[in-house]
Amino acid sequence: MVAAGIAGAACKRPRETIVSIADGVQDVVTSRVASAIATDGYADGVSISLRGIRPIKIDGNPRHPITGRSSDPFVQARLWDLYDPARSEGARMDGAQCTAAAFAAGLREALERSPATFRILTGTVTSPTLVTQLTELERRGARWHVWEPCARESMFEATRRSLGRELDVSVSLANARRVLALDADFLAEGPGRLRLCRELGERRREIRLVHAGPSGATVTAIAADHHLPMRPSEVGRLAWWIAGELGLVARSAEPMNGARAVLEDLDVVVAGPRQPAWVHALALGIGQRFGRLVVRTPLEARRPGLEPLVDAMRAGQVDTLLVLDANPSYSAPRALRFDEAASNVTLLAHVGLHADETAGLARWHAPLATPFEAWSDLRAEDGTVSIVQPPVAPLGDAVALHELVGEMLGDRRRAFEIVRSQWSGLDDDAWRAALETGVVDGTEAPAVVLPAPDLGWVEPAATSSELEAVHVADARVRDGRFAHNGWLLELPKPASTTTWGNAIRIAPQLARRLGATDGSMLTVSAGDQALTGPAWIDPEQAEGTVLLELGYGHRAGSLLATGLGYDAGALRPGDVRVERASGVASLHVVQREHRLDAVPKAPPPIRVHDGPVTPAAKETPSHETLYAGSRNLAPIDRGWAMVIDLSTCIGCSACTLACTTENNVPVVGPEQIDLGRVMHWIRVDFDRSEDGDLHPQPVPCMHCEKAPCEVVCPVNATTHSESGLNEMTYNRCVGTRYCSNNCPYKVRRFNYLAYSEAETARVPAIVDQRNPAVTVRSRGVMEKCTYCVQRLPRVPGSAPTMTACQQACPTRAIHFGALEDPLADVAALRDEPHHYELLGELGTRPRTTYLGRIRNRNPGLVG
Amino acid sequence: MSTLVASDHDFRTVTLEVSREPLRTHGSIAWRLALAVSGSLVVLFVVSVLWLFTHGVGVFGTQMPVAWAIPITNFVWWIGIGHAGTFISAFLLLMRQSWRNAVNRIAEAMTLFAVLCAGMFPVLHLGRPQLLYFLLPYPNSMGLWPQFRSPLTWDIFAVGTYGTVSLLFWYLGLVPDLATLRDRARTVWKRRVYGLLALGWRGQDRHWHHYKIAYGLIAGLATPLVISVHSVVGLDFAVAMVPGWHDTVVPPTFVLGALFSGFAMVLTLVVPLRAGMHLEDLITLRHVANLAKLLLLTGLLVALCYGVELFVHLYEKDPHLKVTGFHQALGERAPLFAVMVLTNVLLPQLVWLRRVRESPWSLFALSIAVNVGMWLERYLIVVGSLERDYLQSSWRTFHPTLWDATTFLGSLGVFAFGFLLFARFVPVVPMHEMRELVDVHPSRRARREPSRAWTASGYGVVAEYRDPERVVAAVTALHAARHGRPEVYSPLPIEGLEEEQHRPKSRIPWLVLGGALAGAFTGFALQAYPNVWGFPLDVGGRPDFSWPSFVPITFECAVLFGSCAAFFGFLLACGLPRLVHPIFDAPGSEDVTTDRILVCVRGASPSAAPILAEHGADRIGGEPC
Repeated sequence: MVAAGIAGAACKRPRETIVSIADGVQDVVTSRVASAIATDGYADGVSISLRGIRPIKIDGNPRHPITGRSSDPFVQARLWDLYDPARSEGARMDGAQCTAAAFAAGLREALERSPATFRILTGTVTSPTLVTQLTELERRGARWHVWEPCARESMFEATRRSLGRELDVSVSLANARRVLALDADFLAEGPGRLRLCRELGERRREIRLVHAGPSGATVTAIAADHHLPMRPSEVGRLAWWIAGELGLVARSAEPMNGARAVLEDLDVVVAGPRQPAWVHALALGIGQRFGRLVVRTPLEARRPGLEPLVDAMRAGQVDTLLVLDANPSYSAPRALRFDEAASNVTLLAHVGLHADETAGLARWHAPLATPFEAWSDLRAEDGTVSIVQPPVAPLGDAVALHELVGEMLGDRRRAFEIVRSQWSGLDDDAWRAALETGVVDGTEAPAVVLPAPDLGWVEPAATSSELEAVHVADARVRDGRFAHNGWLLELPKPASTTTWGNAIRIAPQLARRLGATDGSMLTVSAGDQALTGPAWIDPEQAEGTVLLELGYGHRAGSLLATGLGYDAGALRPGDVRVERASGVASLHVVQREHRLDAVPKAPPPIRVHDGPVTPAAKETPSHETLYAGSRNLAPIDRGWAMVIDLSTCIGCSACTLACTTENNVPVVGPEQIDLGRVMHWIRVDFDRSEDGDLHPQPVPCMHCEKAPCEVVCPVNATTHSESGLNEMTYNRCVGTRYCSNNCPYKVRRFNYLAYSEAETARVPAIVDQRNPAVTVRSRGVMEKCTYCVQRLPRVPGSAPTMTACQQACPTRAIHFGALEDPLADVAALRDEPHHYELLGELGTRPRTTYLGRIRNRNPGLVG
Repeated sequence: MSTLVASDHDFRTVTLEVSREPLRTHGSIAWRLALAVSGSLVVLFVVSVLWLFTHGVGVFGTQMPVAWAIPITNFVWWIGIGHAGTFISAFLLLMRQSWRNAVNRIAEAMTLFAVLCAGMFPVLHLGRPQLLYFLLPYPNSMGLWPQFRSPLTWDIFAVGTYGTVSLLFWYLGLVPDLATLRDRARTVWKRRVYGLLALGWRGQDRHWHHYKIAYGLIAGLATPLVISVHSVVGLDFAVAMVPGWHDTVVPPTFVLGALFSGFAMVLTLVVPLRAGMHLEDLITLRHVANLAKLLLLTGLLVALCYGVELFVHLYEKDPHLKVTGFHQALGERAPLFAVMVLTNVLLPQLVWLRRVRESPWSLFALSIAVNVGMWLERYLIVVGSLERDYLQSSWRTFHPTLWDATTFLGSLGVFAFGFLLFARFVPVVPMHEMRELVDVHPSRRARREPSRAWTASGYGVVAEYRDPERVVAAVTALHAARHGRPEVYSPLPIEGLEEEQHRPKSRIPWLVLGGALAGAFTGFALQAYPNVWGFPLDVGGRPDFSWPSFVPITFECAVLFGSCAAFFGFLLACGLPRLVHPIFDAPGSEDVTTDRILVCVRGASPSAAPILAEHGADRIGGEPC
């Protein structure tokens, strides 16, 4: 259906003109469009690559002040939404198919009949146009509620109570030296995550990053120089103690050994959204002291939340509830009993991408258009507005949100016109410039000066001594909003490298007590509520915590999401009991062995340095040969090379997903993952050193000068190019797989089954996403990283170029270029003292090399 | 020590006993039952292969990092089994071990079917088996050739040569026996089929002369071939840099393991066969005991290799090798390793006991155990090494699938099916070679009356003899009387005859030398041309002229061309195939392939008959003397 939609309806450009980025690379076939997509309501400035009119790739918009060129898995994977076969296909009213216009007209009628009992529920909204429209609805009597499952409510509450008004507080790492993350995964979540990643990457060696929190398996914990396993409640004690030491509150006893080391030179404190308001208030106080905070008036619409709505529903004050792009039936706290309250609502109408749980509950449902199909606008973290430009017209009956709300307001204009009139202040040239650059000039919100916060109300809560269940947003599907996304489901999660589902994450002490190993089924119960799921043991998890990953166990929606994993929402956070349940389940793990010292006395795959590396430490593996006539014996000083800086790599896996979408890497599903047949061309290894620290390492093809794979191929299907690439000739490959056996890095991937065809069968429209510059591999063919050969100029260094992984990397850890190119930094990086070749002792002479991981350790926190 | 043939056998009884089965109209119930069982396994094999071809090689458990698993294990196992046949036949012939005569045909047939099974697995495990021909060197429009540095390309030449040479060797040895069946067959169809396959062999002294030279030369070529082929299979692993594979001891270990498993499989086949076909007086306890001794010897050598390998793995400072060695011997794979040590090292020591050595069925049980153990050994090498690669992040345990099992079981069926057909329609013991071992020379039984009279049609005077010694004397006398070189037709090469016949030296050896040199040149040129001039490619930074990599194929081509030269040289020298020959009309000629000897003096030569009669001819021109 969706494929047919693409072929038919979508292949018309909307009449409204979109403007492509004029940077000299576009032609009739290839162009890029600056736009924005919302992640948790805030804009990520993106550039959408088009072939013809088909969007085939998303990357960060280099001109966007927050996003820059980089992205993360959530940005990279978003194109799936457009091509998703599980997308809701048509509007319906009381079970009967209807048109979007009838749907909107019906809502308008309901609004006009009784505006006071008409309520709207949305997620976080930053779109100025939508705010204008919904405010107009409010003016006509409707009430608007905003609710986000993993929102930053604590922060707003803290500012409200300490400063008297709600403020949006973020930090800047631009000059930071010592950063303390209080149960915060600021590198992977939140509106400013890509900016913070960039700021961290730029000055990684000057920053000491300490993470205190229950989980060692978050991007921030992995990126940190120190991870301090701590219950969420203990994190508050630490903040309280620090504030006490700074004279902000009463002094308290040191909450842990080495706390004083944390305090040393501290200049940035980030509190996570899971932390209560009082911890945020302390972070505010500490941050204000050091002056690294950036404070703005809230950019998102602040409205009453879900609780007052449910109360009103229960009290029978709601006749019509319109849920816009939210799924409260699944993700609302169970204690609120949303579904039960919904039965009091005469008309529940839902607009969303999928026929999800709320759609099932609703009498009326309409499919929502993705940001690739409908005009809109969005604000980024700093207020910068980006116009959402749709490269394709809505597929099927997908509804543009602005048109729907406009219809309810009696405004029959198209979304383009609604958005254009919102920005009527821009003349045509300015509008065109805004579309071309992806940024509306001068929309950045000014920072406000932060007065000293009042911490008088702050009182530390008692720490729990019981087993404490903590809800964590899943590293891949977040609160469940991406549970339909095959790319994200198959992307190995940080640290655990599990895929396709969630686990009950426990600390080693609890695992020992239960006799549980990875995959053992556990039952977590509190009162009469219980849930069952497989265990995953995080060696760096805080003792006494049970982490429940949100976002799975869907009852409706996408075929991929339904029935996958357990629903963590079934249990409220707090004290729980954990027991072994019968059986073992597969976690669909990609990497089985994490110990760096699993091969004793061998040079470890990741070189870890504490403190600066002296030039004397430089490794120069000898490349002796008995084969005097060998080619490629000269020093590697020409051709392509990649250097991956392990100091700046944070293990977010953006590279893997960028590579997947760029190179048509198929999704193979959990059964094939269990068989060890993941297809990712660049994987991220998470290796644990003896001191317990986890180190991420992206591993693409090494493009060895003396490639072991080439010598053993019997049919010349993999050979060497003059510019140093190790090339695969797919149509020559017969599939002996000898090359993979002989690859010491195991970066080769084999089409054991017809994976691409299978993917096309399940996700027909994905053929429109496939990059036509990259061959789709057939069954029985070996494949691997090509250094994105389709992007490279024939002569190395003759044109600026970036591989997909390099472009996506949010911390700029991946460097790539021609060694003879003075503008590329790879040649210089290869001379760094901490530069090394992975398994260089084998004499493969790799072109992909690494900079060792330099940690900025505090001696007071070691041991 | 018991004798090699029961003492009451003569030419005729040996012939009758062996040719009984092929000339039967219907197979026995046991044979049909066995055929049905193996036939159903063949069906299983076909189903598995169809499933494999429709779904892809992913139906097997292969994965990353274990990209080679059960199919390759099966390949190495089968090719190993295929090595004992030619080794027994060729090497023991060169060593003049006459006991081989009773078992070499069985061993060679085993080789052929084992090589067939072995050859299928690398094809089945390919991602795109339909493109197998990419591995063959054939001129194509793209000017692209196989990659001759890859051991897999060497494999194609090695296994191809081995299969071809084994077939030629087997067939050459079979030709005189096929002639016997032709002459003894009672039905027209059997006579025609065996007759066609016998190529018109008439047991002439010229035939035997060239036969022995060609057979000996192929044996001489096949012996190093056996060593080279499994060395090349070993190089598939030794050339790769996988810890546990990259080891100089791998090729010899593979050769010895191949012989070990091959001897075991010969025992597995010989013991039930001699019982089922009542061949106990031709394949005696001494044969079985000799095979058992070879099994013990190769078992000890294999044990030595294990020791060396284990020592290297654990003593070597390469940490990766240590990890792999530990994984295979003491870690996750320790149970399999323990079974392997039990079956391959400990159990064969029972052969030291005479009681075991002379009990065929105990040896049968032992041979099954060794077969299992050798499969496990290959599994441990192939899978156990890949499971622990250089980067620990890639480590993964392999699990076979149902289709892995059915394909292997199916291949056992293919093997058994082929072997059962062989046992039914081909003389399982070489009759002509057994005749050489018979103590009582002339047939005791009086000759039956000739069915028809000899019509010489001017071909010559024919005398019939029973005693080879008299034939030699008669030939000497004929030469003395200047009657030219008489033609002698006999069921076996007659000792001392060639010295009297004053035949010019055979040119087959020169032909074989020429063939081998041409093969070597062709093989080398085939590799050097595309790599240096035709289509040089940068392959792993290796030099264009990588001559050490070109050695295996050069050698295989030499053996292939040399063996073909021997076989076709034999045909040329003998004037075969020639299905019609005047001598076939001579009375008693149908017994030439059983127990009679004819001496023919060409032309109308009245003075020859008295000389022939004088030297004890039974009949001359069809008339009793």
